[in-house]
Amino acid sequence: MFIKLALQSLINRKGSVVMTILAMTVSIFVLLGVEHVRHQAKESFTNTVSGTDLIVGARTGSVNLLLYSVFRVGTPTNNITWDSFQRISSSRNVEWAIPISLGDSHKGYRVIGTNHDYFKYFSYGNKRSLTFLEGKPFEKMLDVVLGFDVATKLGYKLGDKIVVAHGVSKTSFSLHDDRPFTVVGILEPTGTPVDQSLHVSLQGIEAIHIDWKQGVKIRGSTLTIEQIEKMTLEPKTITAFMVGLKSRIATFRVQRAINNYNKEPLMAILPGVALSELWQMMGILENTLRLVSALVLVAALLGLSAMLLASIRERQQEIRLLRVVGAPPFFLFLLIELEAILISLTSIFLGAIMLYFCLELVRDLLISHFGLHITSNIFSNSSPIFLIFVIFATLLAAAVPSFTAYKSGK
Amino acid sequence: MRIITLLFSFSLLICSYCFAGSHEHDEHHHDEHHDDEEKHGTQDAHLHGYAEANVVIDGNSLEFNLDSPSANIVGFEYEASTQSEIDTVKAAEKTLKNTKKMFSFKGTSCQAKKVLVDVSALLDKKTDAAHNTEHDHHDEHHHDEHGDDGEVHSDVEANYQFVCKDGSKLKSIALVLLNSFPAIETLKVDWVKDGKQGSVKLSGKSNEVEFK
Repeated sequence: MFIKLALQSLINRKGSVVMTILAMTVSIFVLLGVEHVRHQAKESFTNTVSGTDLIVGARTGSVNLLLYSVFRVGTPTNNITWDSFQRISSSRNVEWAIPISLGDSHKGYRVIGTNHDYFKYFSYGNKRSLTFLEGKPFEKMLDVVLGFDVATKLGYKLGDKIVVAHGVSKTSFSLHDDRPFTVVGILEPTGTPVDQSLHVSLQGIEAIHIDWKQGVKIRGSTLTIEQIEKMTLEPKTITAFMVGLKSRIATFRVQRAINNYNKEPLMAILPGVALSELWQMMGILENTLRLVSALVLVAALLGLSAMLLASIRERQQEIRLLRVVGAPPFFLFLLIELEAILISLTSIFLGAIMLYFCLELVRDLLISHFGLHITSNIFSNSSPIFLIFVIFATLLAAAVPSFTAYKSGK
Repeated sequence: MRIITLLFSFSLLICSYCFAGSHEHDEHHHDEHHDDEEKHGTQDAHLHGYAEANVVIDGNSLEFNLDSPSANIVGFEYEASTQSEIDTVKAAEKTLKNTKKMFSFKGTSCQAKKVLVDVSALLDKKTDAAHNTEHDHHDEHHHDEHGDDGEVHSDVEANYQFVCKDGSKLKSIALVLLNSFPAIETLKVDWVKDGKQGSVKLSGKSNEVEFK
C-alpha cells in the first residue's frame, strides 16, 4: 500500500519527476562510467605486460618507453643498436628477448618487426601465451601474422596480400607497394594491443626499406624479391626489446647492469613499476574526475530535493487527507523518502543501461585509438559500493523535504 | 560516448604533460651535479630527503636493496674526519646491519642470510678496507670523480638477502627503517613478487610495501 501510494503520487507529478530522473540518470552514468573506465584501463594495461620482466629501449622516461614500446602510444625517442640487443639477449641471466621494430603501418594499424620468439615467449594476462586462430608464425621474409582485430576489421584471410605504408599515418601515399606481404597467420583475440598489430620478421622490415633513401622510395629499383631473399638482412637498429629472466631474483641487478651499459645509453624498465608510476601520476587526474562526477551527483540530488520540496506545497490537501485518514506525521516523512528512493533506483537502472550501451558503442573506438579493452560488464568491481552510497546520499538529500512534510502534517 | 573519449583524450594530454615535466626534472639533476662526467649514463640522481629501494621475492628468497644519499643516513656526505663523525657513521652502519630495526615482515617470517652495508664513501679507505673489494666501482665514483670540486655527494648502499618460511604467504613488509632514518622523507620502493611488479612511495607515516 505504502509503495503504491508513493508510486501514484510520483505518477501524478510526471513532468518534474521525469526531469529529476533524467538529471539523476546522467549523474549516475558519469559516476559509474568514470569508475569503470578507470578500473578497466588499469586492468587492461596490467594484463598486457604481465609476462615481461624488463623492457629495454633508448634512454627516456620509463613511462614513455613503456607506452611507445608496448601500447603504441606516443613515438619512440631513439632506436637502439642490434649489437646491444644481441649482447644483452645472450647474457647469463636472460632467458628470452623479443626484439621490437616499429615505424610502419597498415591502414592505421601498427606493423611490428620481430622474430619467432614473439610467438614463443610473449605472454599476457595470467601467463597465457599467443595462440593461432588460423595459420602459423611467419617463415618467409614477406610473411605477415595479423592480430585478431586487424583480420576481422579489415576482413583479411590467409593468403591475402597486404601492402605496408611507410610511417604511421592512416592515409599514407608512401607505400611499400612493390613488396607486398602475404598473410600466413591470424592470432586469437587477446584483449591487448597485439590484436591491433601486424607482425612481420625483422628481415621483412629491412627488405621493404632496402632501396629507400631518407624516407623516400627510389624509383626504378631493379632488385627482385628473389635477389633480396639471398641477401643476409640483419637489422642495424631496433626500437626496443622485451626481456624474460631465468631467475626473477636478478631482476634489479640486470636492470642496473643494462642502465650502466657503457656502449650505448640504454634503459631497462620494469613494466609493472612503470605502470605504477603512471597511475601515481594519473592519481590527481583520477581524483579530479571522481570529484567532478561526485559534484554532478550532488547537483542532481539537490535538484531532487528541490523538486520534492516544491511538491510539498502542492500537496497540502493530500497531506491533510492522509492525516484525517489516520496516518501519523512520521508516515509522511517515510512517504517522501520512499519517493526519493524510487527516483534514485530508477535512475540507477537507467544510468547503468545507458552506460552499457555507450560502452558497446565506443568500445571499437577505444580499442582502435587507445588499444584499451573495456568490458561492458559494469558491475564487476567497486560500483556496488558506489550505488549504495548513492542511495544513502539520496536519503540524506530527501531528508529536508521529508521533514517539511512531517512538520506540515503535525 | 563523447564524454568518455573526451575525458580519455584529456587524461592522455595531462599525462603527456606529466612526462614532459618529470623529464625536465631528471635532466636538471644530472646537469646540476655531474657537469664534468663524460662516461655516459652511469650517474644516478641525487636528491636529499629522497631514497630508492627495491625488493624482489622469488620463491622463498627475498632480496632488498637500499640506495640513499648519505645525508639522509648520517647528515653529511664528506669523509668523516672527527671522532664524532666517525661515531655517527659507525652507529648508522650498526643500525643498517640490524635487520630487526630495518624490516618487519607480515604473513611469514624471514631470516637474514646475508647483509652487506656499504658506507665506504664516508669512511677513510684505510679504516674500512673490508668493503672496498666488494664495491670497487663505488669507491672510484665517490673518491676520484668528485675530487676537489668542493661539492661532494655520496651514497650509502645496503643489500639484504633473506630466506622466508613461505615466500608466497608474504603479504607486506613494513620498512621500519624510515623511523630509524627520519631524514628519508620519501622512499621509492620498486618490488617484484611472483611475476607481479609495482612501485610505491613511502614516508614515515605509511611505511608498508604491500604486494598486490
